[in-house]
Amino acid sequence: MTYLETYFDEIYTRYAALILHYVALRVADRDIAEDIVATTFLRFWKKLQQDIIIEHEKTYLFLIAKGLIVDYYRSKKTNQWSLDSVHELLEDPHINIEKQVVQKIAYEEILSHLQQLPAQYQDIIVFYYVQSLSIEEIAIILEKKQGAVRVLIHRALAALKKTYERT
Amino acid sequence: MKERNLISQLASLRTLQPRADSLARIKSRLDTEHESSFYRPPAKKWLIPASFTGLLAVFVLITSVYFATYRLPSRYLDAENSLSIAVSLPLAPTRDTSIQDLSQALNQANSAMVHLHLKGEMFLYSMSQCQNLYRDYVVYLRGLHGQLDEAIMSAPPERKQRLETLRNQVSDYEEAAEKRLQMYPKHK
Repeated sequence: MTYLETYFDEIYTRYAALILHYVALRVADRDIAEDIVATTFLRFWKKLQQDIIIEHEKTYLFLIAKGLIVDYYRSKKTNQWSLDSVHELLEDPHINIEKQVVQKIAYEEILSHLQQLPAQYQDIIVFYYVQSLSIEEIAIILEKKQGAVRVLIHRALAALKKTYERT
Repeated sequence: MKERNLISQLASLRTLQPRADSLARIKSRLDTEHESSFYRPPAKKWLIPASFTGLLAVFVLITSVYFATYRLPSRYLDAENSLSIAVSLPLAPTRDTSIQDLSQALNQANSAMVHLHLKGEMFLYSMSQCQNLYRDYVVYLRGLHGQLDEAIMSAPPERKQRLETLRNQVSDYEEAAEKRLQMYPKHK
């Protein structure tokens, strides 16, 4: 195994679950989500092969995945997704079966409100509140200034709150 | 709903973890790519412009050689010119100078024809061009031979010898030219 392959394996082990978590919350289709994650890492590998130095692997992977999600929704021409598919991709391993049903309803509620938001707001809420990325990391992924990211976080949360008020 | 509650609900999504089978499928797909082309060294893209440059160089070389040799003295052109000079000269059996001129022109045409390469020469003339020229030459010599036969029959004795000499010359050339023409695969 070459140095590049070892490095790639390390990056994959460290970030694959994180990227799949993000993609699963944004694209609730198991096959598509897996395809996007695989393509993300393939593109990352191709960059490595071109001797391109990637300083922030995590943000770079998120950047690729975000672009692929945008492409997917653009080709699909709809932003709708099903909640059932989220459960095909994600699970809570620490709760028992009885609690799972209750928890599932709670997840579904928040996800159904989240999907009513524009794509950029969904991204920023998932990045900041769910995945706990820093403002600096989000700024790199969204290619915006940190001040603009703070404003977006505030607006996105307000928009999510509004969806609750409507129901 | 209060903002704090909303944030804590969002944070609860952190407990959701990707399913192991999904991660396994992705890993397996990456491994498949690894076996096929995933870990293949990057394509040597410089080979594309390099091969293009090589082809361009060959093309330029061939073109320049073609144009350079196009203007070189060609055996074919010599033969063609000599033959057309000979053909243009009329046979006037009553004039000594005419017989002498024709003999010289024939001699010149024949030596030019003899020097032709039957298979042609690269960039200069093809085999079929050479064959056609030989065919014209033989046809001309046969016609001239016939004219000389007629002229000898009606010529006065003092000119007969000159005409017979010319006829012998034509006959020799004709025989040699026919032999060379027969060397071509299809002689019609």
